[in-house]
Amino acid sequence: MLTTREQLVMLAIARCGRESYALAIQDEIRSHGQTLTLGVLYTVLNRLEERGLIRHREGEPTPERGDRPKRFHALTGAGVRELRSTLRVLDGLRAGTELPERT
Amino acid sequence: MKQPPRAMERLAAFCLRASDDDSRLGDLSERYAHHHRRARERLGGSGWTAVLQHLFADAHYVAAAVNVALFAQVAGMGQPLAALPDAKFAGLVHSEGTMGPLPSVAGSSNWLKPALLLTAVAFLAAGASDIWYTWRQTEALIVGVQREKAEAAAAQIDRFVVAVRDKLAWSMDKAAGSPEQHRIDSLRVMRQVPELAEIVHLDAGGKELLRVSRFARDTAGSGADFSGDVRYLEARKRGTYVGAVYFRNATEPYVSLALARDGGNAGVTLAETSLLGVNGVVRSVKSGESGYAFLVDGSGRVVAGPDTGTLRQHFDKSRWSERDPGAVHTGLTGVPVLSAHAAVPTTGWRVFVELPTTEARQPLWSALLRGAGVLALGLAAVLLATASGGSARPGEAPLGSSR
Repeated sequence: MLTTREQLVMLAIARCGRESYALAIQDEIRSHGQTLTLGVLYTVLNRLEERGLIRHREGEPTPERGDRPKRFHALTGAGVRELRSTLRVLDGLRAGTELPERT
Repeated sequence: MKQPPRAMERLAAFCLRASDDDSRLGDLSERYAHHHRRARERLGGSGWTAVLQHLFADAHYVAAAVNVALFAQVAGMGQPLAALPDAKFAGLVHSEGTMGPLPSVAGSSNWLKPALLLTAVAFLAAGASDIWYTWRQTEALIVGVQREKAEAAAAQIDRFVVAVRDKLAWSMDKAAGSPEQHRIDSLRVMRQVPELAEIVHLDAGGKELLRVSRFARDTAGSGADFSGDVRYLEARKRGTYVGAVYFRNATEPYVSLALARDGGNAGVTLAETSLLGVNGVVRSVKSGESGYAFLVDGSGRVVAGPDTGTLRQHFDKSRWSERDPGAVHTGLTGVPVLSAHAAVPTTGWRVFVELPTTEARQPLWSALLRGAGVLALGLAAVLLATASGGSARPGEAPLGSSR
């Protein structure tokens, strides 16, 4: 089972496609109303990579980044399965659940 | 493309234990450029707002770098998470929801606080030293550039005086002909050198032979006596004489030149020469936004300057030799300036180029302010991180965590 932030990061990676480096992932999550600091993001990415749920490749160095490369991330097969599994649980729980308007 | 200061990047790399090509440093640099661009759009692009732009971007960079460094410290980016103590990991997960300091930092690393403070002190000392040397070098550089400008203007003025003198000497060579031919030759010289306003030829005894003038009617053989005139006496004694600068119509500078003639045509030729061209040379000298140049004659009087209000001011000649590179003096307009000067060899005049210290030191003050701001932010972040206490509570780890 993935934590909320792991789900956020993995979904953002899926949405960003081939351009999913740290800042793009952060912006994608922010555009959906959540904020992850870079420190948190790197930690989560590191954690996901160690578990084999994502992998990375180095891009080309660019002047804007002081001639440093971007690190692009992508979901692995295991990552896709884990994410689907987690979302299926959430969807199952959500389906047919009626939340009260006000508590 | 704005990049973060190199020192700040090095500090971030040190805190992250990252190599120079680490992608995290690239992300921080990219964010820095983004924040700088955003600040420029909001604040505009000049003067003190430029300092604020840098400070804004610096502050974000420091905050992001501290954030990444603290999480890296706790999570141990280079080691497996499984090796981390449960309490530390729980603290990390707990802190993910906030930007607050990590409880585990203070508790787990007794060496961290003194190490960070030591780093901050070292950074402060290195920064102060760098600023001092940069300050001195920049002022010396500015004064060096000012001296080059003064020397260029002095050389141009010198060439002008020499050219007038040579033309005058040529007209004197022709003085052996008939009086009418002599007058025509003098008129021709005045046409070639528009700055020549009057030429007076004297005989060996100081009596006037011929006067060709733009101010009065030409006269020949008036016999006016110049034998007691300082121009005549000095030219006879030294061969050449350059008089004190004087003004016509309040603001038009002129100078008297006198050249002695030898041989069968012995005598002295006097010439009144306009210095409006010299004034133009002095005024064309640019030094920064508010800098200016001025010309002082041999008596220490300002004869060409940035505006007519500065003309005729007396300049203390004793201060000429005191003007050391990089030293600050009271300038022509009464404000502190960085000053440099150069002499005009043929006349003994001096060209001064001055730049108010408010403008010369503005970039240095900006750098100082910016450095102090970044340092304050860094120290605040360090103190914030190290001052917090308490231990992490494993029970706060999110449900469903696979760890």
